[in-house]
Amino acid sequence: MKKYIPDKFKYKVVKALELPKEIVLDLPSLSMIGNEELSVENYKSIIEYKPELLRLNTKTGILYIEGKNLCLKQVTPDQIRITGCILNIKYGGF
Amino acid sequence: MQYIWNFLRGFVLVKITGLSVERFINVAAFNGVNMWDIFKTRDGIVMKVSVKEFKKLKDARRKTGVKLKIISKTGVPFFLFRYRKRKLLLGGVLFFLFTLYFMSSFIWLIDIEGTERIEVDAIIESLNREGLTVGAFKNQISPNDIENILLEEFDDISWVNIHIRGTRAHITLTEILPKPEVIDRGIPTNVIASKSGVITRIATSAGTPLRNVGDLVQVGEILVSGEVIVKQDESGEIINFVHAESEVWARVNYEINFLLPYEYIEKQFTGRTRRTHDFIIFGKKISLINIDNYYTNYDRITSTRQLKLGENYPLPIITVRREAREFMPIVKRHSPEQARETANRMITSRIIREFDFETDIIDKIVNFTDTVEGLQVDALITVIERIDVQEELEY
Repeated sequence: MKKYIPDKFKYKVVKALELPKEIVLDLPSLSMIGNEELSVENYKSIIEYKPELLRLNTKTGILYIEGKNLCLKQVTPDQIRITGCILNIKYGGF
Repeated sequence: MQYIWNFLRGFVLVKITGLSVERFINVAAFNGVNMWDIFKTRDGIVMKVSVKEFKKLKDARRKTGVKLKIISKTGVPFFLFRYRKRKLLLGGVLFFLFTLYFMSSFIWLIDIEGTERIEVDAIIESLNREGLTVGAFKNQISPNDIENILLEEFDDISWVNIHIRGTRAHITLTEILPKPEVIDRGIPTNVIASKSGVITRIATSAGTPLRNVGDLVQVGEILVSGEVIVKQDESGEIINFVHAESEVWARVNYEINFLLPYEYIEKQFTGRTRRTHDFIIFGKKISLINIDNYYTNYDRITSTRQLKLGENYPLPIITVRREAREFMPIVKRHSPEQARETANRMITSRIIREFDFETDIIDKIVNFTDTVEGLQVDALITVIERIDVQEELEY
C-alpha cells in the first residue's frame, strides 16, 4: 500500500502555522454522529454505492464505509452526508 | 427547516437506472447539483433534486448514458401549477390575506393596568373621546398625544404609557401618591361631643377645656372651646381664636332591646336541587328550564357572570346561574336556656359588627324577661370611645 506523502514544504508550513489541514492540504474531514450519521468533507468521488458498502475516493486513499441501509442523505460538490447504521470505516489503497 | 425550504422551492423524485449510477452522481456533484435522500433500489437509485437543478442533470446524463425518470413532483411551484386555473381559490387566498391584514389594523382590545383610585370607566370614556376605541383604526391613533391628554385630564396620573401591540392597546399608568389630608389649623374650631356620655379622659393640645373628667356631657356640647383668653385685666380681655384640638374619651351606654320568639323555623335541606343557566343577551332574557315553583319550599341561589372581552370590555352577554335547593321547614321551639344562649350570641355578633377596634367594651348587662311570645332581651352595653368632633367656631 502506497503511503500518501504530501508536499514536504507545504506540510512543514502547515505544521508550523497550525493551519487547518483539511483546507490547506485538501484532506478529507470526517465527522460522525453516533453510528447513524457520517459527514465526509473534501471527498473526491463516489466509486461504489450499495446499501451495505460505500466506497469514496479521497486524497488519502479509498474510504470504505460499511453498514446497513446506507443512504446518501445529501450530496454536494464538497460534502457528502451518509445516514444508516454505520459499522465500519476504513482506509484502503488507491 | 431544510425540508420546508425544499418544499417551497419544489423538488422532484428521480429514478436513475443504468450501468454507472455512481459516476452519474459524481458528474452531477461536480456540476454543482445538490442531491439528497439517495437510496439504492433493485435496478438503480432514487434521489431528490430541486426543480432548478434538475435541468443541470442533462449534462451528466449525456456523459454517463443513464436513464432518468421523474417519479413524483413535490412542492409549492407544482402546487401552484396544478391550481393555476382555479381563479376562485386564488381569490380566496388573497381575500384571506387581505382580511387578516385589514382586521389586524384595528384596535380590538383595550387593557388598562395600574389603576387603583381612578375609575377605569372614566379613563375609557376619555380614551374614546380621543379616538382610541374598540374598532378604531390603528394608524389614526397617536399614542403620545393621547398620553398627554390623559395626563392633563387626570391629575392623579403621574405617568402613562400607551402601547399598541398587535390589535391590543395596552395602557399602563401610575397614580400619584394620595395627598395627606390637610388640616387647616388657621380655622378656629371648637371640639364638641358626638355622643352623650361620661368623660373618662381628656387630653387637650389646643383650646380651653370646658369640661373635665367625670362630667356628663350631651350630644353637641362644647368640650373644648377655641376661645383662648390671652390677657385679662381691668382694660378688658384679649381673646385669641384657635383651632381647638383634643382627644376626648367617654363612657357611653348603648341599649339593645329585642324580642326573641321561642318558636322558630329550621330549614332542613333535603339535598334535592335543580340547576339552570339563563342568558341575558342584549337585555333579553332567555330561560332554558323553569325551576321556579318546582319545590314548595326552596332557597334560591343566583349568581351572575358577565362575559368580558379582555378585562374592561364587557360583552352584552350575561349568564345567570340559578339553583333551587329544597328544604323542609321544621318548626322548633327554644327552651328558655337555649333562647338565652341564642340571645347572647346575637348580642355578641351585633357588638362585633357595630363597634370599631378602638372602642373598649367595659360592661355588658343583659336582662331576660320571659313573656308569652318569646324572650324579651334588654342589654345595656357600656363602652369607652372617642367622642370628640371638630366644629367650626363662629365669632
